[in-house]
This record gives sequence, structure tokens and C-alpha cells, in this order.
Amino acid sequence: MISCLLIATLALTPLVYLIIRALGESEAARVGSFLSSGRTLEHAGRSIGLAAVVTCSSTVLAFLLALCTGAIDLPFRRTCTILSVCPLAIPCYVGATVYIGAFSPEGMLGGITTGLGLRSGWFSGFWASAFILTIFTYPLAYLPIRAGMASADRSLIEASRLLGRSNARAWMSGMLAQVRSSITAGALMVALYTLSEFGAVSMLRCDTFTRVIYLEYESAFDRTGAALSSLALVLLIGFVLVIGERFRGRNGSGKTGRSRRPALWRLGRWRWPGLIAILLLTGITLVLPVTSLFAWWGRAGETLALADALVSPLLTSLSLATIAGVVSVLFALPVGVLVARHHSPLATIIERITHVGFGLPGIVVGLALVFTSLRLLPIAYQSWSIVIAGYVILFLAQATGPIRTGLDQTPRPIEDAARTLGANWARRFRTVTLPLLAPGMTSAFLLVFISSSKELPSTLLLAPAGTHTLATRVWQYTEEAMYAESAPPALTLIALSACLVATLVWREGLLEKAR
Amino acid sequence: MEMKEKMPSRLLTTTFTATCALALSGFMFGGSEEQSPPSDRSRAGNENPIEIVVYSGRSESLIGPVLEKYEAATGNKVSTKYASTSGLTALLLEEGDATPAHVFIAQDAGALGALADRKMLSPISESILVAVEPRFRSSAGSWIGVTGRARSVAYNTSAMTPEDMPESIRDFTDPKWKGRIGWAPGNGSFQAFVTAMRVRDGEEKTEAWLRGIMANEAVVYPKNSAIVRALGAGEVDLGFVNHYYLYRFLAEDPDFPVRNHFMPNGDPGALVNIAGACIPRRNRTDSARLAAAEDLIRFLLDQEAQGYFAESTYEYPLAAGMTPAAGMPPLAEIETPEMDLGSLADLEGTLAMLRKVGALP
Repeated sequence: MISCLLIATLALTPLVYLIIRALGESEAARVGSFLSSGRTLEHAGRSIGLAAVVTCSSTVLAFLLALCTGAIDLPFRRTCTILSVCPLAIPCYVGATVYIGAFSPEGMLGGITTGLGLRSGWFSGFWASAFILTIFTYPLAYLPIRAGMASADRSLIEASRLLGRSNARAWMSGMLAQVRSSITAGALMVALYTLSEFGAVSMLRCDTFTRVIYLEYESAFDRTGAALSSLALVLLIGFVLVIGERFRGRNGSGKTGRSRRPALWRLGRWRWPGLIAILLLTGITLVLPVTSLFAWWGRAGETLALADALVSPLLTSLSLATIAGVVSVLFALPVGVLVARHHSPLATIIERITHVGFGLPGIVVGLALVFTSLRLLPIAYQSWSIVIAGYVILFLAQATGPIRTGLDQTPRPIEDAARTLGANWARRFRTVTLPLLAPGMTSAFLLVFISSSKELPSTLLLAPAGTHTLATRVWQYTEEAMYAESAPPALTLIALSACLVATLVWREGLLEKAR
Repeated sequence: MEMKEKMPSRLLTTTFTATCALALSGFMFGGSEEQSPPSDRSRAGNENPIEIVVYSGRSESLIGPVLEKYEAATGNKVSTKYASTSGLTALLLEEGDATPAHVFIAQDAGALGALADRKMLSPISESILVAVEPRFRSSAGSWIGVTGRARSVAYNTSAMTPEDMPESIRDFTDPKWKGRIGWAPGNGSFQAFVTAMRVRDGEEKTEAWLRGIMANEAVVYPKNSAIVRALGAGEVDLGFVNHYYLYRFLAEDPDFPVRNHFMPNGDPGALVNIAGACIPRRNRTDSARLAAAEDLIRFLLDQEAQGYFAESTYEYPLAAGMTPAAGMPPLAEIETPEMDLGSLADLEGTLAMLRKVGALP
């Protein structure tokens, strides 16, 4: 219990310090002028606008894809489903790097830039960011919508048809009614992700809050401006969360307890156009990025200093991610035990607190830790321990999830039986609880490990100067327009993230079996 | 039963108190390799090594070898914290006189000026100051330049010649430069130049100039090096950069089609900024460490270190009698505006102006 409180305190301290730094030390006048200045409104407007555009386009794209890949007559249906999830393996900032590089005059699509007489660097700003974020985040909406369609019931659709609607309209209204909550969940994920996204919008110079926070942090000696912008972003995210909850609450699914008869549908003459559309999408989300990166790498060939570009950042990333994974699992265990075994309001509050970091953008956690370390532990400022603390705060919720699920599936009676048979608590923990928890702990470790290894914004703020992870290498090379050098670390990041997607799929499979 | 039921959570409590303690000790000692608090009573004299703490805004790859040589030469020990110049300036501002730092090496006179303005620096001995021309050090003796970095207008040699260059950087607002300029408004060196222009020409003219450059649709790059690379690829015709990036490209490819042009007649476009050093004011004075800190600054201005800086960074060595790397124009030929570099401290004002005109978000 005490350990849980300690962990919750650790998770919450940075946010508290951010608030103190933003509001405590600046005069009220400064806060007032910050809130009323046109700049702040402009950044808020752009952040909301980008989130709205990306959410709409991603959700529509995801819905259409789910419609295609869910149809029983789509050729290569299984492959198409996997291909539709794959863009999740490309971090958005890697996607941005790829497209910026590809549209540069020597890039794979450089012909478009020179042929149309576009000025160099035209691929930037709001719409470029919206494009990149849409094609690399739509799987966040696709996964729940696809799952929702798969579990939809035929009876509602038939009822609608009986009431005199045409086949197509009956199908659409019946289906929509059933997947509405999945759509809301998916759209909310995309909206929150877009608001927190830092790397791609910064590389593409779209001045949303995250980019502004970084620029203010980087250039000014006084960090109050960055702290105020961070707080504004946190409020915006909180607002979106509240709205999302409202929406979800309102359409509670009207599932009946009767056995389901899954809804099946066909694309008919649309199946080949559908397949072609999926292949085209795969072309821009997967084929182009990977081939473009290999092309840059191949062109640079042996002149590339792989030790600098790949080997040392890879080792740094892997060791940081390993430590972050282990620490997160160790921290998540007591929280998971507490929440699963002792139902109390305090337990719920502690669980919520460990989730706070998950909702916070990396750039905000990074900035908050800068303030916290400067104030509490100046000696730790710009040391690796702070980077790891950042990862643990950001990804602790990813570790508590699987551990809690594992505990929920551990039947309490087994533990009770062991106790009745006279096993003491240590023995019970070793012989009963731990083995049952092992799979959950493994996937918790993997999730945190992979998320940490590709984390960009907090690493950028917290890593000791002159040192690099894979993510900061890609960032730095893109800033300096060294696209060939960025290829090896970018491809490695894609490979690592592909493991994340595979882990997720594997976990889902596990859960299905357990059910 | 109840007692027993509580046992696992007690085990966990112990485990996790231990883990937290471990994590905390990790925070405490994470930086200990680079920086441990001075514990031994230090005495003057090189037979007893003195430990000093250096904050460096210059990267380890650049200054690390020089610091190692200092350690070997004096027997003192240097613990260095590397970070960005603005990051360390913010750190010093937050730490105040409780800072553990004995020497701060910064990449920009503005940062040193900002610390000096807040009375956070100790004066440097006259005997060290005289090594450098007065224009490259603080008039109050609170900081000193080590190397010089000039602003230049770099251009693609197949797109234009030096004869095409206007008289002053102020003239690039002419519509004939539309779409041909590359710049990096987020870059610290560029911002120092804008501060210099504000000091020289006043707020109104500087703001008008910035608006003129934006009206000419200058292409935005994140960094100086990206501008020079773009110039080599012919993406833009000219760019506002620091002089030394070009020489790094030329060292790899002597045919790289870009050259520097230095604006004449004391133009702010030819501002020579410095990377320099200072001694942060501390609440506990310690004469032995102060002497060691001054020794380090003296060492940075020594012929060997200055030669190393010149060859490895292509910056201008500032100690009297030193010459720059081969192929570079002598520092005396660059007509930097006559101004106190300490007056570049008002970075906040420049940032506000860049935001006002929309060059920065």
C-alpha cells in the first residue's frame, strides 16, 4: 500500500511541479496576457483543427477499410486485414522524415517537386501534417471498428429491413447503430494521439502546442512560456477526454444476451476496386517508406558512418528501454495487485494516477521533469536516470494493464486453496501468483520496452547533450537534411515497432484463447 | 488469517521501498561519473589535485579533448556537464549562487551577457582578459571570448557571384530576392544577429526588415547546416548562416559549390559573435578552485587549445597572434559592427519580435 502511494507520488510529482512552475512564479499579469494573446488562441485553434481533420479523415478511412476487409468476398481478406494494421509499425516522425526526404530534390519523389516547379520544402505545414498523421494513425481507429463489425449482430439489420428499408440502407443503419461506440473509441484515440504528437508536426513545421512548447524551451532562457503552453495543452487534452467520455456514455451498446448471429456482407462488384484501393494505401504507407529508406541507404553505401548513425544509438536505446521496462514492471506489480485484490476508492485513485502519465504528451512530461530535476535534484539534470524516469511515467499504464488482466484471470480460489493447505505467503507468491502472472509481466515488459525505444520528445529534452538514441538520431538527421544518414536508424525503428504490432496481435490472441 | 493476508503486501512494500530507494539513489548518483560534489579539502598547489565542475554548452566531442589535456597538464580533475547553451543558462538562472559550476563555457555572447546582467558572474583576472581584443570580451571583465563565429551570407556559386550581392543585409527585402533566400529563424546564432540589428538599427527598422524577408518568401530551415546543404543542392541561392558550416562541407568536397560572403562596412549581417567562458558567482568562495577555474580559462586561450579549435571547428581563435584554419579570410578582414557583445543579452525581446512578425510560432 505504502509502495503504491510512493509510486503514485513519483508519477504525479512532475505534473505538480509543472503547475507550480507555470503559475507559481509568473505574475498573474503574465498568465492573463498568455491566455488572452492571439498567439495562444492561434496555437489552440491549430491544435484543435489538426486533431479534428486527422480524426475525421482517419475514422472515415478506417471505417471504409473495415468495411472492405470485413466483407467475406474480398480476395486475400486475411492479408488485407494485416496490411491495414501495419502502418502502426511506422512511428509518425519516421513517416514525416520519409516523406520530407522523398519530396526533397534528390529524393524518390523529387521529380514531383522539380517537375511541378514547387519550391523546395513545400511539403510542410498543416495539410502535410494532416496527411502524414492520417496515413500512420488510422489503424488506431481501424482496430476497434473492425472488431466492432466482426461482433455485430445480424438481427438488428434484419429488423431494420422488416421495417421496410432497402437492403443497403437497412444494412448501413443496422451496422452503424452497433459499431457507433467502437467508432467513438477509435476516433477518441486518434484525437488524443494527434494532440500529443510532437515529432511529425515539428518536422513539418505545423505550429501546434507541442511544437511551440519545444521551440520555447529550446530558445528562451526563461521557461515560463513553455510551462504555460504545456499547461494549456494538458487542459485541452483533459477537455477532449471529458467530451469523449460523454459520447461513450451516451451510446451504451444495446447488446442482447441471446446468442449472436454474425452479420455477413459482400462487396460484390466492388471487391476488386476495394482490393486495389487497399493495395494503393499499402503503397503509400508501407512500400514507399521502406523502399525510399533503403534507396537512401543504398545510395550513401559505404560512406555512411554506421557506428555513429546506428550502432551506438541502437545500444543506447536498447539499454534504456530494458531498464525502463524492468522498472515499469516492478512498479506496476504492486499497483496491479492493489487494484485487482483490494477494491477501495483509494486503489481506484492510485490506478487513475498511474494512468495520468499515459494521457500526457511526451513533450510535457519531458519539460515537467526538467523543472522537477532542476528543483529537487539538480545533479540528476541531463543524466540518464531522468530519461528513464520519464519513460516509466509515460508508459507505466502500459505495464499495469497486462499485469492487472493477468491477476483478474488468476482465480482467487487457487490462492485460497494454497493458503488452506498451509503454504505461507512467500511460498504462495512464488508457486502460485508469480507463475500465473509471468505472461502478463512479459507482455508488460515488451510493451514498455518497445514504446520506450521509439520515444522521441521527452528523450529530446532529457537526454544528456551529445548522446543519442535511435529516435533523436532520426530527428537530428532530418533537421540537418541528412536523409541518407537517417535511413539506418529509421529502418531499425520500424523493425522495433513492427515487434510492437506483433506483440499486440499476440496478446489479443492470448486474450481470445483465455475467453 | 487477516495477519497473513497482509503479509504479501508487506513484502511488496519492502521490495518497493527498496526499489524506490534504488531508483532515488540512481537519480542521486546517476550523474556522479560526470560530477561528484567536492568533498576533499583542497589545497593550493598541483601536487594535490583540485576538482572543478564545468558546465559546457559546447559538445563533448569538441571540448572533451582540451579538458583532458588540461587535466594532464595541471593534475586537476574536471567534471563536466554537457548540455545546450540555453539549457545551461536556464539551469544557472534557476540554481543561482548555489550552483556547483566553477566554469561555464557558452556558445553565445548573449547567454553570457544575460548572466552578467543579473550579476551572476565573478570577475576574471586582468592577466587573462588581456589575451583577447576588448571587443571580444565583457567590458566589466565578467566573461571572455575563446573563439569567434561570424555571420555570413552563403551563396551558391552557379546561381550568383559576389558582385550580385547588395551593400548590406538590410537590402535583401528587395523583391528581386523573392524565393531565393534560405534562413533559420529558430536558430540561436540567427537570433543573436537579430538582437544585434535591434541594437544597431532600432526596433522599428528591424521589425520592418523581418517582415520584408518574410514577404520575400524566404525558405525556412531548421538549422544553419541544413541551409548550407540546401545551397549546395541549389534549392535556394543564398542563406543567412554562420561562417564555419561551409568549411565542414568543403573539407569533404572541395568542389562544393557554395562560398561565404561577408557584408562590408560594419553591417550587422557580418556580426562576429563569440563562444566564451565565465566564472559563475558562488555562495561559497574557494580560492584554490577559483584559481583552478582561471587556469582552465587561461588554458582555453593557450596556443595549443586555440590551434585545436581553429582546425577542428573552423571558428576564429581569439587569442592574440593566432591565425585561422587554412583557406579562411583573416578575422581582421571581417567588418563586424562596432558594438558591445554583452548587449546581445536581450534574447527575450528578439524572440518576442520574431513571434510578432510570425517568423516563430
